[in-house]
Amino acid sequence: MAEALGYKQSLSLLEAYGIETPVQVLVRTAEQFDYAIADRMRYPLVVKAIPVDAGHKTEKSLVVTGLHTAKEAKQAFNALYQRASGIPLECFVIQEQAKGVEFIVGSKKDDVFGQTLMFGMGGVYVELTADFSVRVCPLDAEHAKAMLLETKAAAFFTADGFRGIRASLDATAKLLVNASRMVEENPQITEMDLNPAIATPEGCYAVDARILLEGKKGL
Amino acid sequence: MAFDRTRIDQLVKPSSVAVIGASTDPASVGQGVLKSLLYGSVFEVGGAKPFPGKVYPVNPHHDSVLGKKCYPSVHDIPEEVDLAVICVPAAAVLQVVRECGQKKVRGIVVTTAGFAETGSQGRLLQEQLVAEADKYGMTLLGPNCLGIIRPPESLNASFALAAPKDGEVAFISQSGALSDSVIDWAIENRFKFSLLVSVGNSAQLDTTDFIEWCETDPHTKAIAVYLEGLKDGRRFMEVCRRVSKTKPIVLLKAGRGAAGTKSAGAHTGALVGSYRVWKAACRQCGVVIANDFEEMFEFAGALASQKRSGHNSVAIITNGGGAGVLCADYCEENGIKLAELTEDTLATLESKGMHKAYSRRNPLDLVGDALPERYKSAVDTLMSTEYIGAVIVIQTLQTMTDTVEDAKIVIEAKKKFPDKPICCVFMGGRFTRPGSKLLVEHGIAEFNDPRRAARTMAALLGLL
Repeated sequence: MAEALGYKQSLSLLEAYGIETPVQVLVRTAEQFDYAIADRMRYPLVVKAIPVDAGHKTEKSLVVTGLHTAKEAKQAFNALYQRASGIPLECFVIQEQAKGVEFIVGSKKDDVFGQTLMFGMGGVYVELTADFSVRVCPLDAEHAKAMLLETKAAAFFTADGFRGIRASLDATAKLLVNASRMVEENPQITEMDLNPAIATPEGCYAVDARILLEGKKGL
Repeated sequence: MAFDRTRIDQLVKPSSVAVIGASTDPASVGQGVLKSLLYGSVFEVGGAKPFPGKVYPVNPHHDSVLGKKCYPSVHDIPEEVDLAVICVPAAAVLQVVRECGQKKVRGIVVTTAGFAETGSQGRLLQEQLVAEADKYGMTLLGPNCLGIIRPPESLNASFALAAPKDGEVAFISQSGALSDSVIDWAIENRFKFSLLVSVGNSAQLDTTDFIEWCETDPHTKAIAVYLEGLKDGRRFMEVCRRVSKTKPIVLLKAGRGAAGTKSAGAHTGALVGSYRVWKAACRQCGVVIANDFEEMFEFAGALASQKRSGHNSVAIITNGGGAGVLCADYCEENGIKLAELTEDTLATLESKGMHKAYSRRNPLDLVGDALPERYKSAVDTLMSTEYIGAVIVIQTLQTMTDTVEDAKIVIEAKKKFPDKPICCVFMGGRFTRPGSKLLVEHGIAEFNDPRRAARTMAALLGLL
């Protein structure tokens, strides 16, 4: 039976492999959340409650986005705090809201070929569109770019972007290469979703991470 | 462990073969194998040659089988034995293998079923079989396999119904029964093989080992693989990445199970099914995936006889508009780019004589009444045009069509431009056959259907 890696541990793992994430603060209690925390960050913000075994957050309504002031953030936090009562929580997250194109970057350990990487148009629609590419790891930057460009997402990586919306090919490819290195060097990872990974013209950030481990081995 | 090709040489190039379990029963596997060795083929196919080395039937219950002296055990054979084909019941296999080891037999083929494919007890028996073979340093093919056929050495160590002719495609199959039908099909379709091996349960040697062996086999120019499963995918990729550079590999994969597994709410697991991973892996290591058996051999045949090209710029020549348009559709579906014909090219074509109503574009429609001269103008012009990387020649059958002359034109052009792939679609049946037969004899892929031609062209251009 697979075990999900905690949010905090997931973040440090991503960081160790150079996978960028939005600026964020983790708090455990209402007392730990004050206006100063929010004011040190760039608005708009997102507040999330992270259950101990995180499923799809949007389905459980444990995420509030588009918070433009410290007051809005605190109110959202309080509301979430109420809503999440009774759910075992790991922590709350106050995160800068990334604005850009939503992709999914995932990995799956295949019985025959070992670690594989997946890239697709992201967010909650990925299972509907089924527009994604797959590679067996490891991956270099050139392979990663080919992988990005064989999906419909290719339009975002052109000079003009899709309807003017652009995503950085280099930064997104770099995230793929780092993710590939991460799963190759941690074979106990059986599955991973970076969903969404949000790409801007300058960067690409893992906004949420779900990492499943084999058995109860930990990292 | 580093790959040691002499281990497979022991199966492929023996100078003496024992058939253990040779039987007087014509319906038995043991008799099938013995006939294959003694006559080259169980069914008379013409041209099958007997194995040139020594053949020893072994069976304690017979004094002779098919007129050959039969030995009670391998120990009783007075001379050395290189290869033993074992056709005794599963319960007797271990003992026989041990005797082979003591006799210093180098390679064994275990045709017997009833091992890992049957469950945990069979798995245990298979482990013991491998341990026994390893103990004596013997190469083991199988168990649960049809055997091995090596036409260039006139070796048929199998119970296949017949032996295919000596050719340039190696076929490595995880299914023995399918191999039988493939042989029957190959005989009917004049398809030839450099090697035909049924790996069965792959207890010791597996598909990857044979692919690696084919890398330096002078008889093999392309490798066709039918595969259900594999243990070490990374090694398969590593070997194929290297081998496919010189010997094209075509794979037909069974057990595609499109869907991924539902697990613990992660998206990737649900999306990425095993066949998606197989397709990705094959692309990464240069293996061409075929969708069905016919395609596998069409691809392998074309890749064995024609050079691959990376110049994706194809011209279609046709004497029928419909066939040309259909072919263009299939090309597009398979990632083939159609070359845009320049004014210069059109001027050259016209100077050599085109019909007034010819299409002036790609697909180049020569119009239905095209005689060989017009085909020759078109084929020669387009094959010699630098910006065109490959040509598909379509011929529909009209009253004035001369299929043999048209075929000769293509064959001549191919000789002049061996680096440019050519596929032909000589559509028809009885009256087209003389032309299509000539093409095939000269190693030019020929199909009765523009879709298949487009698919094979895509394989030749490295697009699949």
